[in-house]
Amino acid sequence: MGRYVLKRLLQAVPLLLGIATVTFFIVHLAPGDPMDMYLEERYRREMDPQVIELIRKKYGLDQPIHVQYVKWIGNLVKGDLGESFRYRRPVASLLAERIPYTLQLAGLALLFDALFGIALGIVAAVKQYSAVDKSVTVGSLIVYSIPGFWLALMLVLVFSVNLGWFPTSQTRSLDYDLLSWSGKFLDRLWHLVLPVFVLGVASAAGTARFMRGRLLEVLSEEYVLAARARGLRERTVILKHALRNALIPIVTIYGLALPFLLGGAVLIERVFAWPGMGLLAVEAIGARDYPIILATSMIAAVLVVLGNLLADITYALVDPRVSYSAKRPA
Amino acid sequence: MQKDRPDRALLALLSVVPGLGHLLLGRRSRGVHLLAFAVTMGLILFWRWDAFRAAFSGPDVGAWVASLFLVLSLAGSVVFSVLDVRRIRESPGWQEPREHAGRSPILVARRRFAANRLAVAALYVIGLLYLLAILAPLLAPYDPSAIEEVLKTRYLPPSWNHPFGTDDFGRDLLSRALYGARVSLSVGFLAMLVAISFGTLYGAVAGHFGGFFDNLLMRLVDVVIAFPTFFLMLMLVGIFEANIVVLVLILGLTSWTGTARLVRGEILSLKAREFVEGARAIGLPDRLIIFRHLIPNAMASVLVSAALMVGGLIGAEAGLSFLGIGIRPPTPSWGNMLSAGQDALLVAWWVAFFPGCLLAITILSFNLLADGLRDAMDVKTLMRKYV
Repeated sequence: MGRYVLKRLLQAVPLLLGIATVTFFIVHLAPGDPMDMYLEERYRREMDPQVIELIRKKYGLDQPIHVQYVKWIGNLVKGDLGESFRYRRPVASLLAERIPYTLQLAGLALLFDALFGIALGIVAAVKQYSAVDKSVTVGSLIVYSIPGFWLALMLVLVFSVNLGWFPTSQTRSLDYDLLSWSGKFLDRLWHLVLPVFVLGVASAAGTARFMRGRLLEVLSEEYVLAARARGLRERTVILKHALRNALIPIVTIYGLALPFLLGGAVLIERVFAWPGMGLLAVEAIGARDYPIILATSMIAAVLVVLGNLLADITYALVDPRVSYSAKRPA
Repeated sequence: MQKDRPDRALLALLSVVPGLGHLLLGRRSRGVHLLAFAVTMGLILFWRWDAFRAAFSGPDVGAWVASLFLVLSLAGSVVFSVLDVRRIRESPGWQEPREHAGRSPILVARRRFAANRLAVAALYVIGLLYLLAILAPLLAPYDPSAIEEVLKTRYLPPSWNHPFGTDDFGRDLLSRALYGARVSLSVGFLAMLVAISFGTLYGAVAGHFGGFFDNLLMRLVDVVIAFPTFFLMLMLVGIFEANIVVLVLILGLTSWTGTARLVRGEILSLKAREFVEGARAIGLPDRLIIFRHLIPNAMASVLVSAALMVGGLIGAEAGLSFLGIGIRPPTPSWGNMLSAGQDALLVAWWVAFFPGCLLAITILSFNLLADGLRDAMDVKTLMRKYV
């Protein structure tokens, strides 16, 4: 098992290198060189060309492109993502502040998805063609098609503006610092309800559809027939024999869900003024803060790679058919 | 049957009215569609005659296109109707029941698709939306960017005069939504064309040549796929100043990876089939093998992913415009209307409500269409969260 994990980790290295390379080339594909990004037009015209040349030298932009590339990769390995133009702070520390907020949203949304998506999928499959099944299949497609940020706006309108049940935005109330320990916890939770629901519900809809399909497939397998023939109760057949096998591919699905969640989180963070890395990226675009724009995309990609890695390893843990060695049994 | 058959000359005369000839010949479905289409177009022409005439002398290209489309589609339906009726009359055995008409894969798929009511309904909705978008200049009750007495007309709730209400500048939201449909639907469709063309070509080339080259190309796909698509779009929109053309390219060039993988998979299994081996044996160049034999046979799954993709891309454009970095005001798109809607949420719910409904209906229709196409054409290999 240890060797399998190590092997998958090593396979991720070229992928990470590729991500860094693609980002590097996007920067250099952009019109002008990074100097143009760093200095606004009006300053550039007023400045002494020699000073510009000096700054160019300071950032290594006078070097040939392959030297710049090697330096860029070297800095990344050291965890140096450059410096934000706007905040004049290392991008890495800015991201370190913001990423936990995004992961909080995405993680809880995944939990929501796992609880409701899987359960609804099971119910729909077990009672195939019933009213429940039909409303799950049709309802999930509808929910899946509604743009998350619009759903967020409508929920804010109903539950925050009209009913006043939940806060409209932010991560905590104004009087947060005055609250007791448990009050603080509840306050944070209270602010999480709407964003997590919006982010999780679309993902849960997808999971429900997938889970239903998988379980129906498994229920038509011969070993399920055999279990029934042995006179086991339907409950046991479904929960012990069918469900286990149907759940395995769900792990991969969660690995694939991460890019959607992170992408969706950008818009949800904007609606709820949630200070995650999506909002950081959006603000950076408005301020033409290029190092942050690049770093957020790159880090999002790295998170996806890590998520898939985790999914692969979990898959190997839960599915005994995956062999840890290089050669697969026939 | 025989005695009901209308006289040849009379039929030719009647078929000038689109669909009537088909109805007389017993081709009900085609007849009803043609008739309904022509009547609708005719009514629009009659109802908006002034706008129609003004369009040809006015400076607005969109209005000109809309009017031209109206005329051409009316004329087209007449010509098609006459020719098609003649074709049916002259084809041997046209009176026989249609169930035996054929069993080609396309006909089988068509029949299966027609049996899926949701998918057919979705197709009608999509057709209607695109029609509304093209004809927007003729249909919109007001100028979408006209700002008059703002204080009197701003944030009017939905009413008979303004079915969707008005926004913060007192502009009619129904008109803006119609014009917004032009932008949103065309951006989604064009970006899909970019993504599908590039992805299909990429996947076909990788699959056909195989070996080291294939490996290299697919590793690049792995890298691009690792980026959450929306972040990649954000990054590119942030770096390149995005006008509408650049936006279409960015949306398209960040969405091709799924198609590339899909097509490559299809090509790999097609390559082993006899007809491709035959093509190679007679010495066809790679270019012809790829374009004549491999790609056409992978088209079914490409079509399904195309339908799925349009919905996703329309959503992505709306998202970017909502963030203020896609289509910029005053050009209306459903996304930037939603952005204005968020600012107005406390005072005017309708600003955000209606464009979002249209967006959701559009995306839902494309998803239903894709589901229907997938079932009809028996495509199984789609990489999608729900399979």
